[in-house]
Amino acid sequence: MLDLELHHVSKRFGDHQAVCDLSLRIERGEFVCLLGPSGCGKTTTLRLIAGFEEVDSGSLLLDGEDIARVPAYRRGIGVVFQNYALFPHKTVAENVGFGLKMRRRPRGEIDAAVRQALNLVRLGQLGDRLPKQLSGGQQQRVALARALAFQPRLLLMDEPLSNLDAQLREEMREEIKRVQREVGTTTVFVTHDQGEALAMADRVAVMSKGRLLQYDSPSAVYETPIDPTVGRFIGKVNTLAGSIQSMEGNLARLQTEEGPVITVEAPGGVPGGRLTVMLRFERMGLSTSRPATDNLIEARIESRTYLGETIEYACRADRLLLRATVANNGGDQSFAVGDRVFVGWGRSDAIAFKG
Amino acid sequence: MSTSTSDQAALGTADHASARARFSVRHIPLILLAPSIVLLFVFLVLPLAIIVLTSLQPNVLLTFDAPGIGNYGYMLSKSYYLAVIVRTVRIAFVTTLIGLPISFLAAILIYRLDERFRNIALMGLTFPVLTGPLAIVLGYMALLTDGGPLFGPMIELGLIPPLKLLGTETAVIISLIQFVLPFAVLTLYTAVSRIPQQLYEAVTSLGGARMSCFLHVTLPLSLPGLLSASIICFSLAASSYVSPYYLGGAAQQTLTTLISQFILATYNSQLAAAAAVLLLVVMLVTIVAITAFFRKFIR
Amino acid sequence: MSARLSSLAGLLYLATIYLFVMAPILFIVVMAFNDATSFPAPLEAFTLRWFAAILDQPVFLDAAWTSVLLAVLAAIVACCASFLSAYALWRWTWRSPDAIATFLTSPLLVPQIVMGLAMLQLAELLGLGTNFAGLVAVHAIYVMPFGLRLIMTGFSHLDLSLEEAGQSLGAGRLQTWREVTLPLLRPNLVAAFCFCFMLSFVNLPLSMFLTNPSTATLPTVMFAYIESRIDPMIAALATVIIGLAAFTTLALEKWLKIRLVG
Repeated sequence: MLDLELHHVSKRFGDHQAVCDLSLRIERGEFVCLLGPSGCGKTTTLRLIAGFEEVDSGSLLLDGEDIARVPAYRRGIGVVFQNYALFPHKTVAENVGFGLKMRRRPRGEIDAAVRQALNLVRLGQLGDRLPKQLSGGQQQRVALARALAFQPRLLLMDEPLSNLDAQLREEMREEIKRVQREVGTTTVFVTHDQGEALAMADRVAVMSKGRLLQYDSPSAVYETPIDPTVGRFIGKVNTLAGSIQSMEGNLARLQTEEGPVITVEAPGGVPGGRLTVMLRFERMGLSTSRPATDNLIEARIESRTYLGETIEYACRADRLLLRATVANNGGDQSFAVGDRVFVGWGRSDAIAFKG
Repeated sequence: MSTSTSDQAALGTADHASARARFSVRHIPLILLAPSIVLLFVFLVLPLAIIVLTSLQPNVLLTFDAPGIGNYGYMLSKSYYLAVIVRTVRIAFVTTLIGLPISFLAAILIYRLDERFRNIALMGLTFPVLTGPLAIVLGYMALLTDGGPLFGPMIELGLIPPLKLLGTETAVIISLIQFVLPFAVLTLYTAVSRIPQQLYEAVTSLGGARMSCFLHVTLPLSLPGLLSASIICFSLAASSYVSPYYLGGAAQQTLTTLISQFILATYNSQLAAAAAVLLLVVMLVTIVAITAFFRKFIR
Repeated sequence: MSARLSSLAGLLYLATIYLFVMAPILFIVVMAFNDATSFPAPLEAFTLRWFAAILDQPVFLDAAWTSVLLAVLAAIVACCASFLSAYALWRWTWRSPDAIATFLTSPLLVPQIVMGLAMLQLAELLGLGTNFAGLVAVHAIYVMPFGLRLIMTGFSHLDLSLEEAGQSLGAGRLQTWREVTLPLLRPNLVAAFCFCFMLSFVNLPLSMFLTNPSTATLPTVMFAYIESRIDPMIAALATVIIGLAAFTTLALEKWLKIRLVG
């Protein structure tokens, strides 16, 4: 259980800059998610930490010790791979005990550790099976047990849940969190699924095109994204842009390009300045009467998408199209296509960015 | 957070260390490839160069200033040697021309077999390769003689006239077709097996029957495989020794038997080397020609 | 049903092909057990005396031993070099892996007799004459493409993350090879060895110029024998070789479960 620091780490493949000047610090025992779209560099970062790739520049410090030149097999970092990478010719017990076998621990110690690790992931009785005899979820747990059995300094997980179906994925999310809390190992978890990241992480590192965009708690990343890229990546947003007509303290009156004038919190804004405003779908309120909200737009329902848990509406007011997500609470409050509605939201429901 | 000076120090050592590490890791693959490449270079490339040099040297039959192409001039001026060259090419060509479609059909049919039987079928075809040409040619020597069990009874019954196949090009070609079949079938099978099943389903859904599937999917997508297979067939046939020697005999010499004659009978290394170079040149030219021919069709 | 008929026709065609390919082999085998003094001869009684006759010929037995030694050495050299090359080509994706692989399989296109001649001239240049080491070298180069192909097929089924998993758990490269890579590759390695062994064992043109009477290989001895006469004994010898090849093929298919393609 150690802390991990990356200082200005860069890595390029040919003429593609995979990771660019990345600096990050992960505290002891933290569960951090590297989140981003495909190609953002999150997996490369993980492989650099694991030692499967070499950094071009920058340093990797594990509890203060520079591990950049330490070969992968001596770093003592546990890795759970996307396709589990269980040794097909070894039993579950042999797989899990492999790390300790490499460290030449006595037979008895290995057996005890294997038993403990398998019990940790609740697979205690499957030690003698071969990987091909297990289900996907079980193989996943074995991979986790194997990575933890030798008590690594750090645990890395490379999109381990992406090969599982939705139901299993949620179960395993809980399992992994539970195990990590029990063992307390510092963990770095790579995923492109923002729901996963928000649900599991203590802190989320949002990456794009090889750079770190924002590194904060899930709620901070969600509620106060640092720039539109992050805002758009996490959750669904409506985007409006326009120039400030006037300021009243921290409140800006914004003349949007799409037509309506809206009020939004924009500290430090000046009249004439440009703002990009993001409105989360679920923060939009729809009603047939005029609620007393800061912002109110009269619109007509253009389309309605039934999503089971929620219903998504597209509301058109001239050139402006606003999407709203409403909880599905029985159907008596749902709207139909063509209905006139009022779309409202408060001044703090929007996120404003300069430019 | 650490102070800036220790940051700098950490960065400094890290950069230097990673530069050192970069050296060793990048060179590991080269070190691993070295044994094969060195072996090939020392025992194949170098000796071939020596052969070329030797072929330019004068010998017991001719004197000219070395290095010179006198040997080649000599061989290409004699009609006998020209006939040998032409025969080598002709035999290899006919073997390829007949062997290729036979193998292609076989490969397609094996791929159509039930999965359980495919590998056995391929392995069964590979088995003759492991027996070696000597054993097989011995079999042909018996099988193809007029007094043998195949033709003997047929001749006695008057079904066919005496064929006198031994010592003819035909016998050589028959045995060469048998020889190249496994290699060609394996190559073509690989090509056919890579064609996605969905392409056939697309043809069927658009109204095409079996022949359309073949003409519009199998054949065009197998062209690279057909190219490889024809190169393999030609090369194997042109370089074969045992078949032409035993089944062709002294009357039907090819470049390979000529080479061995130059060494073992007349001890003429230089002419043997010249014949070897001629064989390599012939093969190279044909391979280039075959490739160019196929490239016209491969998109 | 035309479908049924066409599949029957297909099976008939394949059967004919197999008959064509196996005919000379079948025939030699039958002749080897034939109790007759000439070859070929009509079938008379079944006998094993020609096989016994082989045992009375020390020249054959010595040559067989030489061939075995040669084949084992050539196969070991070829398979080791091929393994290292296949590993390098699999582990590190290069700019042009195909170019390297093509170069390594180029011996297939060089006529064996030319290879033998080339080695002879190299040996003469070095003042060595017919030597066993040169023979091993040229056999190794000849069989290497086959070994390489088989081993590369094995690697293509190997998951790269298995090596990384081993490393993350503390296994250095050699340890990873011993614990993960080699055990998983074992069938292909054994198959490659057997293939290389047989191909070297039965080869004639490569050895023709590089052997002298004391280092004669079995094929060269058979070659010399046939120059003077052909009798059932040589057929019996050929049958022994055929039996060896058949056994190897069966072992590869049934025990090692080698897939030649895919």
